[in-house]
This record gives sequence, C-alpha cells and structure tokens, in this order.
Amino acid sequence: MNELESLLKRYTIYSVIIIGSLILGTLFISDATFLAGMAVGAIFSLLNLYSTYFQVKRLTSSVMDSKVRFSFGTIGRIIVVLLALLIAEEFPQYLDLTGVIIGLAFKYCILLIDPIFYFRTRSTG
Amino acid sequence: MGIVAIAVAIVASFAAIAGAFGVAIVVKSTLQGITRQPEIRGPLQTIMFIGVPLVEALPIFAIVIAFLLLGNI
Repeated sequence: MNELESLLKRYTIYSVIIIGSLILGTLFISDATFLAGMAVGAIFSLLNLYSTYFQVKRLTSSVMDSKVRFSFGTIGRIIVVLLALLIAEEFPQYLDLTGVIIGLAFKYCILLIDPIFYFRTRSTG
Repeated sequence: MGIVAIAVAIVASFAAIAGAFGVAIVVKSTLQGITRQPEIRGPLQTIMFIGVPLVEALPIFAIVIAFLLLGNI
C-alpha cells in the first residue's frame, strides 16, 4: 500500500467514525435535523474526497503513460455539493441546511487536523 | 432582486475562475515534478491529494453562498 492509499484509508476511517456517530446521534435524539444534515454533508464530503483521489491517480498515471485524459474534476465536485444542498432544500423537515454545509466542511477539518495527530504518533511511536 | 442576481453571478463566476487557476497551478506543479523526477511520484501525489481539496474549498463555499443568496431572492 503506497502513501496515497494509506492516507485515503486513514481519512475514510475518520469520516466513517464521524458519520457513524452523527447517525447514532440522529437515531437517539428526537428532532435532530441538524445532526442528520451534518451526516448527509459528511457523506457527500467523503464522496468528494474519493473523487479527488481517483482524479489524482488518473492524472499522475496519464503523465506516466503520456496520454491525454478528460475529467470533470472540480465541476463534478461542485455539482455534488449543489446536489447535497438541493436535497437539504427539498427535505427541510429531515435535514437542516446549515448542518449540511458544516458537514461538507468536515473533509477540510480532517485534512488540516490529520497531520498533527499523524506526525505526533509517528514521532512518539 | 436584480442586484442579488448580479451578485450571485459575480460570486459564482469569480469562484469558478479562482478555482480553475488554483487547481491548475497545483496540478501543473505536481505534474512537472513527476515528469522531472518520476521516482518521487508517491510524495507528490500525496501533496496534490491534500492541496487540490484545500484550493477547491474556497470556490466550493463561494458557490454555496451564491446558492444560498439565490434561494433568498
């Protein structure tokens, strides 16, 4: 397993833990539209992360193979985010729009916080 | 209403331009590095994987704000 794959695995584990705890919170708290919105936002955020991973792999392999490849990239990820917002606007009784936006930002929190924990555990362990 | 629509158009278009330039710079630098030194492909891929989402965050959230403004027209 190379560095990129281990990074994606770590991010996926963090995201699944966050999404699982949010879904558990939604199940146990009554009227938890905010938590449900955060869970949906986090799921779409994870989808975007996987899209980025496959794009990075395709781009770098296309350089190695000297091939030209077309991909939607950023536009595709923006469409995914807009889809999440549309779902939240369509079902306001189940999903809170603010929660969805905060959930979409989980990916960036993980990206920024992960190196702190990773390098700390690597230096101590 | 008209002013808000113009604001939404400006925010979305500038977000698209900023995102395109930002991602292009990150990708260009990474691919140049891989072309020059194929043996450091792994670390460069990792840097690109972290860099692209961070650059994309600004345009994505600008478009979210534009979308929210559009909903309030």
